[in-house]
Amino acid sequence: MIEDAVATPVNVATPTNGKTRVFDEHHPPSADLLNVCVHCGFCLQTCPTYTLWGKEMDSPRGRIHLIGMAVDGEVALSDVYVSHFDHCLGCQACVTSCPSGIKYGKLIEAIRSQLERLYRRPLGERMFRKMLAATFSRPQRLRKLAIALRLYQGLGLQRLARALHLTALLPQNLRTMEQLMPDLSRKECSAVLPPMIPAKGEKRRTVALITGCVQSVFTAQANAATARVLAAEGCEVLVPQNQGCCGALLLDLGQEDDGAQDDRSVRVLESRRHHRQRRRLRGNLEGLWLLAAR
Amino acid sequence: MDSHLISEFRSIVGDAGLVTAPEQLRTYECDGLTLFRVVPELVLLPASGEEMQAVVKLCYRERIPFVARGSGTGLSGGALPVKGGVVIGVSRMNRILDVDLANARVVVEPGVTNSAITAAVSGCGYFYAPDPSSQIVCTVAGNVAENSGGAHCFKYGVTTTYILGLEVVLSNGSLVRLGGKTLDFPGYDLVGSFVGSEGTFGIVTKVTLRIIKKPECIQTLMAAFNSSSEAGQAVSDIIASGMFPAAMEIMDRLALEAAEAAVHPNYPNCQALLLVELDGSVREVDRLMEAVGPICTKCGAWELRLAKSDAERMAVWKGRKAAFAAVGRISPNYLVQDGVIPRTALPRVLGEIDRLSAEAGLRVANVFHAGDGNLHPLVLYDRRIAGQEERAMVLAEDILRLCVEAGGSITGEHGIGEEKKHFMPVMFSEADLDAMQRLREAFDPYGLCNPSKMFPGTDVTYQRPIAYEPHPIEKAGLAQRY
Amino acid sequence: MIETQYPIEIAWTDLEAIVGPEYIRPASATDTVDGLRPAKVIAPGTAQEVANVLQYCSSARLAVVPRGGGTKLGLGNRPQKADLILSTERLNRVVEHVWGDMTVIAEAGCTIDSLQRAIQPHRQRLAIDPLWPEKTTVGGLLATAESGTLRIRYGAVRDLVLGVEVALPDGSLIKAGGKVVKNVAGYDLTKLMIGSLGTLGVITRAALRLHPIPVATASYSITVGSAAEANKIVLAILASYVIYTGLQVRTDRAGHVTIDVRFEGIPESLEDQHEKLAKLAAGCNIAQVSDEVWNARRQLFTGADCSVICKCSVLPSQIGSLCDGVFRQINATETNATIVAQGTGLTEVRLDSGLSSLIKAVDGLRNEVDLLEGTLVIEHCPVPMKETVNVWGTLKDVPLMQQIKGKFDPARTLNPGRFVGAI
Repeated sequence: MIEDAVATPVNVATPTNGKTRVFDEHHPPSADLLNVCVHCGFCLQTCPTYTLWGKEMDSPRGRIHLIGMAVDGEVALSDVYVSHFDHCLGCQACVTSCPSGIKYGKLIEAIRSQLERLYRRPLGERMFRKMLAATFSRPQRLRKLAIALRLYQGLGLQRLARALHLTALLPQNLRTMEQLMPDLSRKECSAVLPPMIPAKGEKRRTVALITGCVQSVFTAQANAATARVLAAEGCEVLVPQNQGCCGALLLDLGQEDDGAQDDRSVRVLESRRHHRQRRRLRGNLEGLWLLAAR
Repeated sequence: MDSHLISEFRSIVGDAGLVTAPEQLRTYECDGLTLFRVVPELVLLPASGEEMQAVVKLCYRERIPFVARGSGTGLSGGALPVKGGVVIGVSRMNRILDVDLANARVVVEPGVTNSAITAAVSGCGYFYAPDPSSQIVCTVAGNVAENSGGAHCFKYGVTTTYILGLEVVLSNGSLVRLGGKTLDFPGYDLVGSFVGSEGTFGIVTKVTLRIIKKPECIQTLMAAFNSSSEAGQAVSDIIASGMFPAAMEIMDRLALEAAEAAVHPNYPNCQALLLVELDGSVREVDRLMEAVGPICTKCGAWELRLAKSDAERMAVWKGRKAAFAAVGRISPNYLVQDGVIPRTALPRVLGEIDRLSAEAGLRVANVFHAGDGNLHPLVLYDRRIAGQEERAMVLAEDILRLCVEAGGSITGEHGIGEEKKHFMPVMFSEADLDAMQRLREAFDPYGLCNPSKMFPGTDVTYQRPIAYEPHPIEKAGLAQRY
Repeated sequence: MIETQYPIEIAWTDLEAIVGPEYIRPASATDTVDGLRPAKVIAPGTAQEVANVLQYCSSARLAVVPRGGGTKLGLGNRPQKADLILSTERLNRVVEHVWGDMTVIAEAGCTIDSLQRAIQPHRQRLAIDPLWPEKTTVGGLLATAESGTLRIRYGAVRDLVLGVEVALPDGSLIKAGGKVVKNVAGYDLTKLMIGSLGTLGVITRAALRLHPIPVATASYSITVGSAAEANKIVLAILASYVIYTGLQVRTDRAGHVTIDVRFEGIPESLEDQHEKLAKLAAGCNIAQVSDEVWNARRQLFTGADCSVICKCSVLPSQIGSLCDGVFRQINATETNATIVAQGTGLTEVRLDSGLSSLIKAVDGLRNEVDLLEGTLVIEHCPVPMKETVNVWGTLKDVPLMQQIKGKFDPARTLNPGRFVGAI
């Protein structure tokens, strides 16, 4: 069920030790949520960044500890401090292994939005993040980008750039993105799904599919495959057209939903609610499930 | 810490192996026991035995005390840093180096997790027997330091039973190889002496351990009782009948509530649950299980459930293993205690714990390895209510004293660490403690390895000597210092 | 270490005052240790008396050889000095048998047989089978850490001892461990003492963990034509679901090797195990045999005055290669060999020949074992051989062991020179 992503806790984070408050009043990390953590460490080995680097600050337990320190006014929001939250993938694998039931998703969201407001990033980083937010949350812009990238790949420019190591000239962020670019040559990558796919055989359910941003432009074949599987399972799949971004990426960047964009896929789906039939909302993107889970 | 020194450390372990920023060092200030916190000067994470040795040599040169750390899940404060010292973590040394199934030996780096060892060999029908509840995260280095046990150690033994060889860096930076792949190395049992030394003898860089064959058939029986003493009686009767179960665990009502809330193992709704696990050949287990049921019923069990498949058994054990941390769901704070009593004293001691907790006005959830008398009373309290934390600590200590009076031990698995060092005189005489100190001095004459743990009166604040500055009169050549 | 010219008669008088004059007597011909005859044999009656005797001897610079049943006095190097034998014969009680906990506390001088008899009424046993249970004492068993045929299932001596009380040379009487199965309080001094050959202290009592006496047992022997084949079968058994409580390989000549397997449990279980074994050893000659086969180790030591008995430790997968190596050496030196190997890889090899051949054979065997990266310790040999042959082999970690010895017995009162590195 999609719930209000950033629920307001009753307990506002104010240091009781007389130190200066680090976070602002707007949805700070909740002390109640933090207290759930008993520091047992069961989350360490399920966390991708911990298993990669072996450093406590890059584990869920360490991150919770860092948030707690800021709540207590004992630490400033330095580059080093912020970096550990930037490293967090937000995958919430830790939640599956926590015996105490920590709501890590809410905590990481809360701190990311605080950092977005209270920490001034270097100029390059700020520009990059603006670019991400502006492009990836607008499927139309992404499609245009995809066309350009398809040309980049199709005309052999990518191969040339890589062979001549021109990509090394790019800043780190862009270089990584270039390396991770999927193969866009097949048209299935950006295929738009029809508004309704009928169930195969007896219809058991109606399901609405969130098509996502990056997914629908770069790897739409996954959406198509999802629709096929759902249909095979007896679901009538509704794909509301002109869906926008679900907001997950922006949340990860620490930007909050200001309600400005009407094409947010969630709103689109809610507005298309026909009868009082219960709908299952399905998305096959990591980001969407995370949004729902929070 | 001196920036030159930090650069020297950096040249050994690189940025990937160094933690220097104050906010980062704070995340290392405690392990699974949050009651005590000390911020280290530096954290070092070597990626190999060579880097480990170089780091320790540098610590030795500068006489900097160090505390080893695995995953930091210990419950006695063993990885608590020493003021003025550094933490040396093994989390980046996490490779399995050699698996020899024919001889049932595995060689691993110290940062490999306990369950990773089993995972590496379970496909071929083997497993690594010591199974502490934190096995998905805790490292072999930690297991060696604390001589960890687990639910199945009643039949299968504890960590020391399975360690054949250790490669160790001593406090002066020298590398020694204790034991090895074959059995019975001539000389003193240095491996046996090292296991359980809680990081006070040196740091491990390699572990050679034994794995064992998984049994053909394993079955777990859950028996629901109206009281822990009835369950305890059933345990005694099962042993008296000559059976040797692989594990026997008892959880009381509060612990069951917590476990149910955490992982939904679907336990029967009872005052005390007994888990009995039997393993062996199919015929043997079937036959013995037929006998266990009636024994439990005779002692008052009103429901018996048998878990036969691996999936069913895993669900049963997941609840038991999550019980500690799960208690966090039914109480804002808790203290987990670790004491041992002779099994025959179980009914009396449980009754006493009930009485003590009623007097203190606090709830105590009980989880214990009934087979070997290892109790884990979880004292529940709310820190926000004035006086509760203090009362909880006093109650926990009273329970420990009770264990010693009953002929047991102040720690079955978690170790002494920081938490119980002042308790050692309750269990050991001065001569006993002196003998232990002699062994420690033989391994670490410089007092650099985890110096403030295990023994009373060892609180250490290490202060680096201030560089000597000659007096102006000395500089002028008018006086000499001798 | 300064040797004081101590008027020895004063020492005996002082010691008489500690234990009572009737408990210190002159040593006889049967009280020798590797040909060395100490002056006296003293038998303290309590643990405190043991501690007092040791303290006195330390300050008087007397060398003490602790003795239980005297079955392993030939183990190790010749003592550099032996003034006094400290016998534990009077410390022979079973102190407490808590059958409900499956633990027993026994004094060091209690023989294994009398211990087993005392706990048998509750159908429990100590799961260790030393060579001479009628003579071996609890203290001696722990000090030598003898390894028998039950080890492969029930663990070594170190795995079955819960705690010890030890008298140290400085006169203190310490406790290590406890009497409960799970105990990690403090250092595991129990492990340090086990196998230390009485060079750090004299064990005065021990808490041991027990097992139920099995309902039934059955033993089978499989004969095969080569050590390699035997090794294959042994490895197959180790990797199978067969629950053996004894697994042994015996051979005295190439081409004839016997594998013994023992099962214990309820009758249904024994049948089951036999079926599984038969499948593993299909095509070989399997026969049910009596328990006698498990006395093979004891037979090695019978009439072995002029023989050498070595304890080789290799990996289970190397038992076959070890046997082949033994036969290579005996062919080269005209020696006879009898091998009894346990499935753990611990192998005892008896060599019979003239002294010079024996020395060559042992040297050659040591090389073979080195190639297999194992260890070889001479458990028994004619005393003159100890002049030329290194009983313990070359070892690492000796400096650390010397440190430990220095901390516990700086005056080298106990068994000086007998242990590794001539500690």
